[in-house]
Amino acid sequence: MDKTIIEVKNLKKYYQVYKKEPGITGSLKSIFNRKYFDVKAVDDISFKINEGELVGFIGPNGAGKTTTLKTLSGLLYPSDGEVKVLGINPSDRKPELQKQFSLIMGQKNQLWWDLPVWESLLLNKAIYEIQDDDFNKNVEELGRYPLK
Amino acid sequence: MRKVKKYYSIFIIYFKNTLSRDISFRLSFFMSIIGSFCFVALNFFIVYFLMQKVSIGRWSYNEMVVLLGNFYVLSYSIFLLFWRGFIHLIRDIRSGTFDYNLVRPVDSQFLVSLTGGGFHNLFALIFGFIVIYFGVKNLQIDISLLQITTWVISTVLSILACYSYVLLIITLNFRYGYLEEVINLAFSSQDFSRYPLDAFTKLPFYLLFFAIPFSALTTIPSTILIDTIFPVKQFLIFSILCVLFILFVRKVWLISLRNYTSSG
Repeated sequence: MDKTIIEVKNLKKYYQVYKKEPGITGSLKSIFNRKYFDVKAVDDISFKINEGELVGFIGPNGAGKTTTLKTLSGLLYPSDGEVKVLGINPSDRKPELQKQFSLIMGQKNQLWWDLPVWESLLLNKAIYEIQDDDFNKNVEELGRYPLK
Repeated sequence: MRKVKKYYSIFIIYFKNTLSRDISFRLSFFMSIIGSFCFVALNFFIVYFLMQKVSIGRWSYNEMVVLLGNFYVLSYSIFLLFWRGFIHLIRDIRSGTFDYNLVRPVDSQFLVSLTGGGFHNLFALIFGFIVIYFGVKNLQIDISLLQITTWVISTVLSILACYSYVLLIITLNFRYGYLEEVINLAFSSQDFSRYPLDAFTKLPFYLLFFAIPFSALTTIPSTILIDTIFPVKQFLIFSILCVLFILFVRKVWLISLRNYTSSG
């Protein structure tokens, strides 16, 4: 039997936002009285993904694809439902899970903007506790001299 | 031990990079140093002239100098170690860049707190130590090893408690979106620690509620240095309250992360 590595049960993610009336009067009113409503980013979805499966996750804009992925990676805390990745609740943000996945999102820089590339690599080496041999092998592939 | 080594390595990489970045913008670096000194000098002269005429509580001029030195140490340690990280944190929460602190296998509070120093503040911090030294010297007190040890402990706790307070206010950004001005609120509150506890006895209760904790952050370390009888009870109560507050803020931070919307 295939091993389930991602399991999502009745996942919901709602954002509470306030409805702002237009104009300066609306802004002044909003200081004292705000009307809130829920935006349903993800509404009651369930699925399972087994080890080795290659899955495409498609849908129109605003369907909740990114929100689901952010919940799977532990960035967002679900409003309701259950999520397990490799048997761990991602919201617990355990390093043993965080070391095992990679998340690439469009329009966002994966590196620290104020760090030189080499410094970023060294920082990731420290964060992910990568051994010197593995690190050197990979930087050599990138055409960079390894660590002494 | 492995965890300590890992966090130490991350801190050092950031430390070296921040230092080299600060120094590479030479003019900005020197102007920041001048700015820090102007701030310190202005404060020092205010106390110098005021104290000729006015007494603050039971505090003599030289005792106030020690307290002022402690204020600089507290204030500039926060600026040196945490301030830029705090400003980045507010921006990152709004833009969603904070995502990258959350997905990495490192404590998010560590990443946002200890990775944004402002090294020009180091000189003002050293100046704070010099002010304390001269205050103590003028008072002609023989400082014991116990006093130095407990002063170091209480000062570190003061810095961590003050840092926790700022972090506590910033966590409101997770719940309420963009609150850029909270950093100014945090900064203004710190000013209470410029004066000793006795200075606030005539304040109305609601103001006293804010003043006492901040004032204690400098009053207790100063009292440890200048009192002839070691204030055991105050030191212990202060230490316990600081530790409890730091732990409380840590808990609030972890709970607040649930409200992070990742700019969604």
